Amino acid sequence: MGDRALVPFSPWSWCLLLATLQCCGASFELNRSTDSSAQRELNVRFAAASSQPVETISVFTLDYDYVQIPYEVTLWILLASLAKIGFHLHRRLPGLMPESCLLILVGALVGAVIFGTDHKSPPVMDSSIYFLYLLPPIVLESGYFMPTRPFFENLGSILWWAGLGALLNAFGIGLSLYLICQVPAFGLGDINLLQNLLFGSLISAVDPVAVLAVFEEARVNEQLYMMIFGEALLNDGISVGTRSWASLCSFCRITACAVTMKKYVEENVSQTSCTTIKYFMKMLSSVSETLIFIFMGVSTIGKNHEWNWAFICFTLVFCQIWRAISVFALFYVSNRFRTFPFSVKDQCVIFYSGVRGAGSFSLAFLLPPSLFPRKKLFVTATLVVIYFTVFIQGITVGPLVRYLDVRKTNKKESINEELHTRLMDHLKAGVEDVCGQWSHYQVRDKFKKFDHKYLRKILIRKNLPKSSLVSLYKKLEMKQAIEMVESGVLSSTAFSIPHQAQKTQETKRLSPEDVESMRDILTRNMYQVRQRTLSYNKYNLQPQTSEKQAKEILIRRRNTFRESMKKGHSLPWGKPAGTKNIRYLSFPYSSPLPAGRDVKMAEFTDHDGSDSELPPITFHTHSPAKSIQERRWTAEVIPMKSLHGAGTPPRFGYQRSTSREERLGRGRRAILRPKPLFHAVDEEFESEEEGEEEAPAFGSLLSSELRPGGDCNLSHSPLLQRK
Amino acid sequence: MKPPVVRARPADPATLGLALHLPGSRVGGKERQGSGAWLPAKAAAFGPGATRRPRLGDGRGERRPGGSSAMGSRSSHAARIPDVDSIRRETGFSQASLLRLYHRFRALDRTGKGYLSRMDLQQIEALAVNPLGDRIIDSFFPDGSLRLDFPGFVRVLAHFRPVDEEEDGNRDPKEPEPLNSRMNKLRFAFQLYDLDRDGKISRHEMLQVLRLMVGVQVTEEQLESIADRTVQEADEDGDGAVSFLEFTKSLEKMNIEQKMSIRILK
Repeated sequence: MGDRALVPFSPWSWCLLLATLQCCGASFELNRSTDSSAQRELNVRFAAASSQPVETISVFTLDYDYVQIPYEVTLWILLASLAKIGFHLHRRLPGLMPESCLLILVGALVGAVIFGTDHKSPPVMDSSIYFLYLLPPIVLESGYFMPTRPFFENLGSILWWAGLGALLNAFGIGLSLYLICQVPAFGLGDINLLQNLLFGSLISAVDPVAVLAVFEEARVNEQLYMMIFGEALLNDGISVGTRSWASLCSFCRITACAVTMKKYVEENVSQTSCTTIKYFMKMLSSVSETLIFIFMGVSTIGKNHEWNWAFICFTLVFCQIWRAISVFALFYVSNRFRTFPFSVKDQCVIFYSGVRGAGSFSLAFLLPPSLFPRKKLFVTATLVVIYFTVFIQGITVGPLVRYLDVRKTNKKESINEELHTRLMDHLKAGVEDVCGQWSHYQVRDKFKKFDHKYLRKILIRKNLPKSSLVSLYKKLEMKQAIEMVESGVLSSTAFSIPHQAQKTQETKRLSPEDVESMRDILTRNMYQVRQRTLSYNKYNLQPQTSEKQAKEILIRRRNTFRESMKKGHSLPWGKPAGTKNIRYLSFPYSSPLPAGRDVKMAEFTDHDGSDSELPPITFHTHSPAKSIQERRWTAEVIPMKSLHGAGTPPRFGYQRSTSREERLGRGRRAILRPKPLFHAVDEEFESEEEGEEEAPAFGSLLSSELRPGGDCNLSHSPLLQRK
Repeated sequence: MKPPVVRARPADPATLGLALHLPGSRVGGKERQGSGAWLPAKAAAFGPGATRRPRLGDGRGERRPGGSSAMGSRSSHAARIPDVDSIRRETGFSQASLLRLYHRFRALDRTGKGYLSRMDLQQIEALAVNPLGDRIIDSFFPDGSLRLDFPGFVRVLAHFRPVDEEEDGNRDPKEPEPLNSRMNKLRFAFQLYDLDRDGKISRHEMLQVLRLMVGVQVTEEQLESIADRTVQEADEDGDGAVSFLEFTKSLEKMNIEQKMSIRILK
């Protein structure tokens, strides 16, 4: 985990790892003791057989009883791991069916094995095991990987939909089933209302996240994603909460812990630790979920069932009906209040993604038999619903979504179309970035202010690690600066602009295979468009292909710029280096260019600007390194000022992104900043109340100090109009 | 044009502020001169002979480039978009969208200059790793200008407004085409290719774009042949370059209206 200590996050997590390992054993313990007698019989028979010939030495005894527990545990783990690996190695399978399908199948297989050998009921999952060991990692992982900004922005809708929807579903299903039970023909008369309601609540707990992987390819917009995600998260909580208040509380605590700690954890630890934490959490939750599914599969194969056609069929039917009702009704209402309403297509997707998961099963399994004399019926019904939704809905949701997305039929596009399509995608992504994220300013910014003022100072360390990309960037910048200063001959790069098209225009006859191969090359090698839409995969972490792509792009831009510098264009858009650009603010008492640079440094310390608009390039979706850079700058601006303008070290420039003027400026040497200017600014600075807006205030205050007198070549500068 | 509907974001003071201050500080003056329109209002606040300590109290509400907190709460002062009516007519944005864009403009303009420079846009980190980032930024600065004022900003973004069929039907045919029509969207995309603005995409320009968009493992010969092929496919009159009409023709089957529309820019 690197050489840095992990910020000690929730003690839950540490207990969990140990506990999870134990629980496998524990759960077996409970059962093995009861059927060891059966095993002993086996041994006895064997011993008897081997002792037939008198006075032989028993060379080989099979003491299954002794090794059973570790043997079966190992078998399960091995089988589950192999299945998972195989599932993901197969290229198309993860897109076809949710991983839950696979886990259930594995569980069923194991169950079949156990059933075959023992003829006994499967191992028991204890209520305490579930709530203490199996559920928390899942919840923790959901909370950790939840994208916070969209979640909180859509919180109203999510609460409305998930909360109310769950309740509506639960009551609806419960009541309908109760009515069915009243019909004497089905023989269900002994199930009272309370039992039905409780059953309704547990069967309505959906696990739609499992399905997200399947229709990830279709462009699911951010809002939809958040609804589904939020629903999953809250649903777990609600169904757990119907059991007991304590479990609801603990659930909320874990979620809150995960959500809040992520930001600080990721900023404090190094890159590798960050990755390790992510993978660790994924692993824990994965293990828990796998275990639950295995329990489920195991209990499918067994004698613990009670089959009642009416109850089960109606359960299935009502689940679908009520989900449809709640989706369409609730969204109809909430669409009135949303700026971006959900289309019918979106609603269909939400309806169809109501796949039940491990949660419902666990809750059903843990129903106390004393209160529920017909527990087996409930378990069976739950299993049927889960199987149905996971397999049938899970497998068909992909095609459905693709169909709804009205994708054109996949006929081959011409090269032109492909190229232009990709260009437009990039263009759109770029313009979206320019537009930024629109959100409710107020609450979020109040939080941000609080965050900066207090929390960050406490929770985030001073010297922070860098991401690999930021290091690369700095290396490149430094290299460039050195080259410029030395003004040596720059080596030609792979991206040098070739000789102009003197090539004669030959229209070659291209065979269809050539065209095909060209198209292939294009498709495979074109850069991916930045994914604005969230992409959460419960079972995988995103691969870091985008980093490689980004590196290439950055290097290429640097080289292009260098080339254009070499040719004497100072700026790619053609202005010679000499003119003072209007961009620069000039200090009346100092040479303009470096001063402009200094002011820009002040600009850049605006760490509270909008979302992700800071020079250092990082690719974490949550950009930990970005704020690392921000912090460093603010820390450094202040001491720099207090030095009263001693030679301006160019190191600030390194942390800037492609600021071309910067590179020009760096060549020049330091200036003397007039002392009085600084003094005044210092005072101003200290009197500044709002901590987070320090730097831009500094910048703007500085600029406000400018007086028109002096060597101001900014005749058009609007700043002059301020005075 | 639909009457402006301010979507009910409950108690959005910014919107209310806009409604109240609509006439705004309409100072004349060319829009090109870097949004000078709203700056003189601030100058009035400072006064030419202002002391070194400007009144941070009311100045702050207007000057803050951070954009977020202060403006959200004190936006009744800040929400003066100059020439808002003409911008709305030209671009077709709703009141609420314009306001959001204005906030965004101010947020991007960190030093409160009143206009955006290329550097401001370059600070958007996602653009830095967009293969076409530079060209996109350049498209915001038509004719090589160095400043982007708010109307110009909005004008570019108007190209990405989703197409509203109803609006299309009601359109007065005598008026110029709305900025977000299919033709204009295509024109916008075309100019990303055609850097020298000669109205044609030459083979060389196509090659340059290809180079930007493709990874390093593709060799130069492959790129050249792909560029050749691309031009060849689209070129009908055989001049070795793709004119705008040929460009549109090659894309006639593509749903441009959907590809080049950003949902939030309604």
